[in-house]
Amino acid sequence: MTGPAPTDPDHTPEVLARFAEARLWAAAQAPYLASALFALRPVVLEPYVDEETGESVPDDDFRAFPADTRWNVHLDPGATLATAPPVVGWWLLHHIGHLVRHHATRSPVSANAPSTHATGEAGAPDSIARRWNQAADAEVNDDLEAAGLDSPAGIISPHALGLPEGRLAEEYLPLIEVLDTAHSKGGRRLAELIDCGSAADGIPHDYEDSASGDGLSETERDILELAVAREIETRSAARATIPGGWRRWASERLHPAVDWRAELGAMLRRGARQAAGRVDFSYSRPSRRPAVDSIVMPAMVAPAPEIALVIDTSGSITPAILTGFLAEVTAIIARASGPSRRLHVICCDLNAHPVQTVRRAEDIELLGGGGTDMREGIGAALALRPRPDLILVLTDGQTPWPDRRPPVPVVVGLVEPGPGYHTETPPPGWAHVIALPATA
Amino acid sequence: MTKNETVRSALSLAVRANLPVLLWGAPGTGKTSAVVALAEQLGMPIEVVVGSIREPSDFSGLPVIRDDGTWFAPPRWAERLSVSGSGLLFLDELTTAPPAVQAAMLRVVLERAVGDLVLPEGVRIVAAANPPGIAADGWELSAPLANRLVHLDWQIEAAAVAEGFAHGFAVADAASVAAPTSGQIATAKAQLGAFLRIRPELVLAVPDSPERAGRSWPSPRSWEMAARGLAAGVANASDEATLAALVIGAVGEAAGFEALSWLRTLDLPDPESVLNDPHAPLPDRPDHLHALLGAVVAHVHADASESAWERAWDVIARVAKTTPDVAATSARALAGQRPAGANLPTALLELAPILRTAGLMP
Repeated sequence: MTGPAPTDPDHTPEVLARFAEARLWAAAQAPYLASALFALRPVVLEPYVDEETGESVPDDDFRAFPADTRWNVHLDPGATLATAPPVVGWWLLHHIGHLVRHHATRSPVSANAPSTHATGEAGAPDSIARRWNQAADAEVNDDLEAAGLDSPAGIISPHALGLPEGRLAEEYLPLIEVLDTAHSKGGRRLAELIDCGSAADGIPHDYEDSASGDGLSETERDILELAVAREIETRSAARATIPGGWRRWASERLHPAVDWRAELGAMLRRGARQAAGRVDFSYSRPSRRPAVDSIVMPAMVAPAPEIALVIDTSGSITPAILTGFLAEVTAIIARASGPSRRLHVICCDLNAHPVQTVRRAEDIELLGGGGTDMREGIGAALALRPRPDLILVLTDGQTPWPDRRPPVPVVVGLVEPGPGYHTETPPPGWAHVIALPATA
Repeated sequence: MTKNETVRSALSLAVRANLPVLLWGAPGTGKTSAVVALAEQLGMPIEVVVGSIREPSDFSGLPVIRDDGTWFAPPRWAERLSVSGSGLLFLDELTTAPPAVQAAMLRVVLERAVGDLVLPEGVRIVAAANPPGIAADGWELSAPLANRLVHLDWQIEAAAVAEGFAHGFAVADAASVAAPTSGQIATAKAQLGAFLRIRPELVLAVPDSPERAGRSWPSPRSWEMAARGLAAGVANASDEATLAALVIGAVGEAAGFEALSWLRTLDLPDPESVLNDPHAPLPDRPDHLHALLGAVVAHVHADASESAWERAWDVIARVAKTTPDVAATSARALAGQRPAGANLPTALLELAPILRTAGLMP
């Protein structure tokens, strides 16, 4: 249902005026979100009429002015007119948080779930959707608090619940479940259940008119999000005050992180192939094609690449982290250089330890401790015969590096240093560096 | 329109506009059958060449000695395409081909030459590949080859497959797709050229990691492909998602989205003409109006003259009649740039009520 209600047309202009005031207030509070705010489409719903008086009264189910994934905001006339513009504006900013963080697609509830209306009771089939809505609210609201905006009463706020701030909804979900169980034992609700519409839980609601196709298409949403993200980056470069959550969102949206596994696999494949002369022609065996007129055609051979793995086993690096990465890295190496390849492993602290030739990651013995000198490890790898086609170094970067480019490609997997250390010198320019995240 | 329909329509547009296409997708999702169906609809012969079981000489020709020197004999599939004068060359399993074979395929895609035989203009090239992460023995595409193809992500939805099993797979009609005219291509090139004039750093951005190098990235050649894709979309009045798939498939996501959002603001009037003409038409949508007023405020800031500042208030007053909140947001920015000696505008007084109710004015 869009546009004015046929039964009661006299409220629509007032509702839209109130929406405009709210939008103006919100754009003044968060100027970096102005283009997103003006892309919201107000949809005025049928008024909820009191049966005795015939007056339209606020419908409590719509006090959050729920939004759908096409950027339509549903305004219940009674609720809109009964709410002060700053509060409506706060909800608009809140929904933009849901929309640009894609809570609908991240929602654990399948989109084919039965259509719900507002606040299901805990234990009802749609209680997962409610929980998710609360967790998503927690993810959005800490940024609004950081921007210095006061939330309306009864709203989930990580700060007030004593939860850590700046987490994702997926992380808040189990925490909120635990808290809520504890609270309901005392017969109270953790917070009021609020319906933010399908923008938050991804379930189409029955008041949302998804068939009409009004609102933003997927491409428009992508373009809009990128524009908002660029606006935030520009403003934060100009030293405007922008909450950290929004800045993180913008930088992630503009520069999505590449999965280090894909990057490392590509590096190894590329580096090892280049070093091995890729696939080469050789007259050592004849081609599978018969020769024409006694000309011998060369066959193609692909030498399997030899990869040497140099592991930093100094005191500054945590063995637990290292073991986790080793299992993954050796699997990537096996995929890149073919199965059943033997792997030459050199553990290195201040000196290079003897070479271990292993077939599986579990067989690697981590020897060492104390200081680090990767020059020794790389030197030992270069001394291997046959010479490796590529050297992969796992280190936290607290080491001197060779001052000249080694004759084979070097890929550095940079692990976050252990507690109490901080990275000193970055690896040299001739090495391909891949940052390995702390929680792989 | 489902994602798969979008990819299919982008594919048929690209084939019509003679753009070489690469479909990325998991094995067994119907890429090959979609291309074969497309060739049937267009009434073209199709030659499927699987790259992973070929040698470089299959694409660069086998050397044959003749009296007058060595001749590189093309394989049979190339001869068949050459005789028919038009057709679809489908290069399957592109990423599982060894790099040496990819290098030989490069010449086929780029110069349409197979050995000593040049394929006729009417031959369209479509390739398919599994992402290297999926294929057990995949290589990344070399950056030069990746840059010569429009990359489309072949996505399928479970619901569409279930529907297809029950009622048969609906095939979009590709025969009705029109090729872009030279005028439409020239217009699209001019538009993207204007965009690249303000973003010169996007003309060429060679990717730094092999993983990214195997996908689309901006270069003068891929921008030209993007322009041809845009023109094909305009010629067939395609929806925005299809256009976006073609542009992003040619130049990559970052550059593509920026170009698309810039093309959208092309529909906005020029801030200077709005300032000078009190009857210039204004856009309807609030977000477009907001973008236009932002441009007007920036223009006035650069101009820094009193008259421009005062005329900007007339524009604000015009917008205030329809969307007072958009007008008031820009009014606050404009008021902060008041040049010395400029007269306070009356429009500000008209906006006072909404500013006051929103709690932004005492």
